[in-house]
Amino acid sequence: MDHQRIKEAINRQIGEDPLFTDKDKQRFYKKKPNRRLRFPAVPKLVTVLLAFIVLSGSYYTFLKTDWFEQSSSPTEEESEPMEETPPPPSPDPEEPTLVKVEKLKEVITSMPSKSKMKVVIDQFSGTEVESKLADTENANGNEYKLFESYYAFASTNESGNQSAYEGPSPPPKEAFENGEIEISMKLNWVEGGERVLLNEATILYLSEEGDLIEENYKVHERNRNFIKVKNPDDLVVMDDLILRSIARSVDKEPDAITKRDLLYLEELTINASHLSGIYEVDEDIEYFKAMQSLFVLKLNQAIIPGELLKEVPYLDQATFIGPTVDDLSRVKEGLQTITYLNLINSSFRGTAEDILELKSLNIVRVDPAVVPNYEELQFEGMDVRW
Amino acid sequence: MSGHTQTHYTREQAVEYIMDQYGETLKRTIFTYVKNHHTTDDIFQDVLLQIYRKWDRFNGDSQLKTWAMRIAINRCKDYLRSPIHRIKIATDKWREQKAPNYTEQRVVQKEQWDEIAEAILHLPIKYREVMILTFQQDMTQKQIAEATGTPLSTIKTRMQRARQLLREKADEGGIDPWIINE
Repeated sequence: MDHQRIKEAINRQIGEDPLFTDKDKQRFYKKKPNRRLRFPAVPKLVTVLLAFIVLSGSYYTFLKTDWFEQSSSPTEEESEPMEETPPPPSPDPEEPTLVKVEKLKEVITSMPSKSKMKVVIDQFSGTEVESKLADTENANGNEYKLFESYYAFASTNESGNQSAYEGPSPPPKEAFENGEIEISMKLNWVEGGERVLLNEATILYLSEEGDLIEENYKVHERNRNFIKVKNPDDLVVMDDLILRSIARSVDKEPDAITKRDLLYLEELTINASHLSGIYEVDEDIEYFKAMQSLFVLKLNQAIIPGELLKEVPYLDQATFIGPTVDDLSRVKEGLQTITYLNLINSSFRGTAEDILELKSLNIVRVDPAVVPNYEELQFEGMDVRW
Repeated sequence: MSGHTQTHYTREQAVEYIMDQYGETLKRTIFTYVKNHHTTDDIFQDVLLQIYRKWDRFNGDSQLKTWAMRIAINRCKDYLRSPIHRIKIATDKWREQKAPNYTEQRVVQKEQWDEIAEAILHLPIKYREVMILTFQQDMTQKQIAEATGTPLSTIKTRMQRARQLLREKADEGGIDPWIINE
């Protein structure tokens, strides 16, 4: 490859203006720690007094700051288009629910700041129904707080007025059918360090066909769009072993599993080792389409055919245990998104070429004794572990 | 500034020198990891502080640029593993944050190179870093191994794999394969 042209192109992608400016220097010198007193004769009292003034100023600034607009960088105003909400769409009370939903989704995927989101909610005549601290987590010396806020967008009645929704959150389907509410929206905000960031959004509304639709958007590494399920409260009808497996993951009773549970199911382990033969999953493909959050799959003496697995859009890790995959031909179609594959306790007797057919794979656990040309995997940059 | 060790220079002088000589380079490298200008600014400040604090430990065994680069790379990887990154990741948004004078007018050949650069910036991190450090930072494979703390053999393998991934991207369309196979 032409070294110079690649270099120029990469620099064009990053930006043609210099990234390093005097502002970086000024910022460093403002923050640079003072290692020792240059003038040891200065009385300690002066230092204490200065610290008091600085801390008082900081406290005053803290009280006066709109934390939703807080910048962690002095240069943010010039350089952060990411959190800028696009011009808010103009809401029209007469427009169909689906159009309003699409406009809200557009704003949500633009990763708005909390204050900008509030402006949009006001424009859509939404009201906050409930807001609570849902969780806290400590990591890297910082405390992260997760806030859940429910908003209601009420239907307009014949006289053009909107009534405030006062029912439970999330609202039941009947509330939508009775016209008490048109759209329900739950937003999760994470407050950490000096930032408040949108973490997750869930929207509920009634489709034109009268189905309750739940759409969910998470801001995380899977980089997906909104996921969606129809009639999320409908119970799931599947084989008992799978229902029990799902129930273990979501911590519910097997006969209470709903389509919403499938939507948010992140890990699934099916253990059929107590059975005499191989347990082959053969269920309605719609249920696999609903598993839009499934990330980790472990199959012990069980197999899900590739034509079903391929409907699971964000599967990342798969483990096979037992005599189910002598090669990967039956499942490879459904494993094209995985980055980790564990075959160490499986009956796999295939070749490096079989494994290399999984295009996203980075790490494979496999016994080198059964894959004689496993060095080929390493040559291709794959991390081979045993 | 030859000799670049703490016996010759104070930490203030060292940071000043690194900012002047490698500030742009370090910030561009940081950007290729985090793909966000605002985060790049913050991480760059952290890197300068670490250089300032660790200057006593720089013994001159490696080049100053490689040493500074290693601090920057490690800080970027720490950031990518952090919870705050997981919740704010917006890799698909980063293109919106490019400098405002990013030109829209290119000849066809130039677009091809931009397609490759974009493909490189979308590679998984371990392949992206070897491509960026090779092509954008002009580092040798030995220097990359040193800066990333990775065995030289692994760097060679990753380079091969990165090229293969780009070839696959070319096969999918959008890039002339000859550019990568050159």
